[in-house]
Amino acid sequence: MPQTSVLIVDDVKDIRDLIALFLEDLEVEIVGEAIDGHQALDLMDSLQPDIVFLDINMPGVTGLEILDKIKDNNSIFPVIVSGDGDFETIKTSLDKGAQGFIAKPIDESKIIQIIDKYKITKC
Amino acid sequence: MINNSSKTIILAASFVFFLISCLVLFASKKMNENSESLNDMTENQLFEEHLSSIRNSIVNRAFILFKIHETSSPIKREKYFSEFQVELHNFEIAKQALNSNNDHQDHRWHSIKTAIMENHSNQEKIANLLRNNNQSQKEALLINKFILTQSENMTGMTKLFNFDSEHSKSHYKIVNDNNSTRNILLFFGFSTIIIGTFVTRATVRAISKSEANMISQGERIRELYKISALPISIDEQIYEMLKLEAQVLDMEIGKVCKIEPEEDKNTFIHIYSIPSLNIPQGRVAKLERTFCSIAYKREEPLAIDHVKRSEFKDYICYSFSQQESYIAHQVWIKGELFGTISFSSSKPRKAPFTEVDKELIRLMANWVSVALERKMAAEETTKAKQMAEQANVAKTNFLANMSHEIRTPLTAIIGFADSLNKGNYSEEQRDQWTSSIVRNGSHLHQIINDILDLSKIEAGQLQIEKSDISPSQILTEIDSIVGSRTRDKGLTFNIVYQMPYPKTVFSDPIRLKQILINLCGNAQKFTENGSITIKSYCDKSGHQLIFEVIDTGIGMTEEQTQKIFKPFSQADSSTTRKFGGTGLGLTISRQLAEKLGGDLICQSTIGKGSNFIISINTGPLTVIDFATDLSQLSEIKRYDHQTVEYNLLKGHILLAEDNPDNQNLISLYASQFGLSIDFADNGQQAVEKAVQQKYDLILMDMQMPVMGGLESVQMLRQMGSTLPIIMLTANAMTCDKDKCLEAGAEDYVTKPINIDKFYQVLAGYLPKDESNKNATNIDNSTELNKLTNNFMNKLPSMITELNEAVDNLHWDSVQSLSHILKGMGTSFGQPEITRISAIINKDSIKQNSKAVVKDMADLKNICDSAISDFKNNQPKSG
Repeated sequence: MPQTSVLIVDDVKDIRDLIALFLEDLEVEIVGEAIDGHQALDLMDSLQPDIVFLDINMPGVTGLEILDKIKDNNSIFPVIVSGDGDFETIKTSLDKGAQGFIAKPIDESKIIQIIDKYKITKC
Repeated sequence: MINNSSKTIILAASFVFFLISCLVLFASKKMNENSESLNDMTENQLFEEHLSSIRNSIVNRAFILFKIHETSSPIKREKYFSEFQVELHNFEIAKQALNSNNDHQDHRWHSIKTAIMENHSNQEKIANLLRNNNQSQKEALLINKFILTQSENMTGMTKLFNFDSEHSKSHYKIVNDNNSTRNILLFFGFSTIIIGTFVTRATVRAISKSEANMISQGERIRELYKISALPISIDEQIYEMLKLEAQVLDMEIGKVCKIEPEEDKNTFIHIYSIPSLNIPQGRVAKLERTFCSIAYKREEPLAIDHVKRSEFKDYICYSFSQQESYIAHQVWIKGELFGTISFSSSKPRKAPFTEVDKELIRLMANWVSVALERKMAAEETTKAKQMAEQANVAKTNFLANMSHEIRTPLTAIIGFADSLNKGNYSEEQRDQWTSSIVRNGSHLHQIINDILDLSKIEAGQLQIEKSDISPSQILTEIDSIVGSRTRDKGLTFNIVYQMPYPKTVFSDPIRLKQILINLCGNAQKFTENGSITIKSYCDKSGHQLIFEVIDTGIGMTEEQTQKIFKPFSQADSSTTRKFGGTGLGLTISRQLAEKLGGDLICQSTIGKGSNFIISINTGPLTVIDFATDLSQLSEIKRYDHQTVEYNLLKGHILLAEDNPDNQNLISLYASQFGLSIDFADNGQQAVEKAVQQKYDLILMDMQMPVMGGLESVQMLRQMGSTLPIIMLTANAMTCDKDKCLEAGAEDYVTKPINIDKFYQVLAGYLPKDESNKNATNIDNSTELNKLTNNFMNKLPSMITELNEAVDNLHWDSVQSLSHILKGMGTSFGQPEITRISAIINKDSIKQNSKAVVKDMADLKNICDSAISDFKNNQPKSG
């Protein structure tokens, strides 16, 4: 069975590594990493990942703008990972089609929970 | 009958008519024939007569001629000549008649005519010759010759007239025939008349008999129905009917009987008897000894004209009842055989029972059925009306009671709270008042719960949730709840198990406990000294688990034990005042017991005590372990009644609740359970906190400002949180629970919160704290260590960069750097770094340089110690 493919987008390497670490035991395959919005869009096009972790605050295209761009794409499961955990941000993200919202600092349990949600929704 | 009669009439009439027609036809045919014959004969006769005349004339003339020839007297000769002339004259007449008549006689006339005419002319000649006295010799010879041959001729002539006698024979025969026909006609005619008369009589008799019968049956029915139209009670109507029919039938007794074969009972529920017998209504006889024992088994009416001469003469009922005549029919009520209606007499029947009699008793049996059914229906309606009125009265009483019950504790609560508010009380008073408030609040809570429970039960809304439960555990819990209070009152409290006892059964633990607590509460209320005992045992074959709550209290009368299960009614009208309670507990308990597949009954002796027996269905017992010894029921241990201990739970929970008092309360409970708790004042805050921090469970109140509980739950689920969420709700209705579950919550707790229930719910989702609290879990140690290494190595440079930005008031840089630090600290084991960075971040947005500088100092300190700690903890490298 093909593994779930994941794309991680964040301009800070430590965060990307952290997310990758927490994803290790969860039976997913990390197919790519991007450091900004443009790269993210390219990689999403070429790699067609199942899940994408998106930081909001990035140079160039922000996470929310990316959400707008992929709004009509039903085959992708976008999860916002953001340092801003305020209500407006959460609501906006969800309204824009985010399937999950994780605030930084990232707790491992949240990563586990979102992968669980992905698995449930895809079954 | 009527139909038969008319058939008979028609048949008879047809037959008679037919006979008559035949006779008439026959007669007329015969008569026609005869009259024809007679006509013929008459014609013949004339013909014969004429022929006779001719013959006679010829014969006479011949004779005369002879005499003339013989005589010599001239006088005689003259006489004879005139006679001759007369004869000649006759001949002429006859000849004329014959010639002018009779076509069909022609052949006969013709055949003899020639002979006669020849003869006639001869005779003429001779006569003429004889007239002459002087005859020549030749003439004399001719005359002699003629006379000699005359007799020969006469013979021949006679032969021609032979048919004479035959014709007269025929004539005679025909007349006879006519006579006999006439006789036959007369005979048959008379017979017909006689037969016809008889048939008519018989028919008429039959008709009038059946008409008479019908008239009498109709009359009898009419008379009976007249009674049913009288404005008297049904019982009186039945009596009058029995009396009337008994008199019509000339019987001594008429009765309606209720028959109970299993008890060999025959009750004369309605009876008419002649004055000399005067048998009372309601007499009970042994069924066997009455004829009704036979009658009620038969679908057709039983009619015995004379018992002594019947097949029943050896029956017991004959020897006992001494009745010689009997007629009866079954009486059915509502499709079931009820008894009989019967008429009997010590004298045999003068005339046998008729079909009409049987028809009539069948009719009467039907009427009595209907009448009795009507009576029963009327009684039921009256009873129902009474019960409805009673229920109405009870409901009104209840409302009055409830209004009082609710107001009383409210008064205490509000009153004492008000006093506390005003201040100015001693410590003792404060303690008294607060405990009173709690007590009254509890009581009020109980009352409202009871009312709600009862409403739910009556509306069929009560949910039973069965699971595998340990009855001994439940009883132990009861012991802890009820036992201490009971012992405080100076009573002994014991639980007794009868072996073998099931370790588990399949039932609803909450409802079972509810029942037991209610019963124990009652036992305690009404017992001043002695003991309360719960005895429990299992009825395997009936799949029932039984609990007996036995007290040595004031007890109740039989009547009272019936009353107490009725809603809104207690044993005594003063009970509420003396003992409190809602009057609903037992009603609810019984209904619950029934819903659990069992029942609740009460046995009591006034002054001695009461025993309430609950049974519940156990579910399948084949897979259940049974304990044979108390020691095998492991949950039994004496509780320390002073402190209630909870197994500590482990976790960090979030409470979303806007009411600060509730926050305080729940936080108190949570800490009692060993949990740490965080607060959010509304839904939005709850979502934010849930996102930003890690919790093991969320308690979400339904009603909150800004964003309510349900919406928040939905959002949390949308975000991807799979935490257990417990809703706090003030409404306990089923639909609310469904709403909670639909929104995504796991479970719910009703307000006001009961600490035990609260613990149970939380314990369902949080692990028990078995280990040292301070232990922290670090997984993925090596990898995380590596990353943490990275972070820690980078930290000093990040701090330096941040400092620079602050010094240079590059607020954008300060913001973004602090934002990054904030997002990393906790992940790498430095929550303090996250915390301070967050503050710096906020302050930098506000561009509050003073605060930022101060915070930076804090941050630097923390980072320095973190770095040094980290370095110290590293294994020596190299």
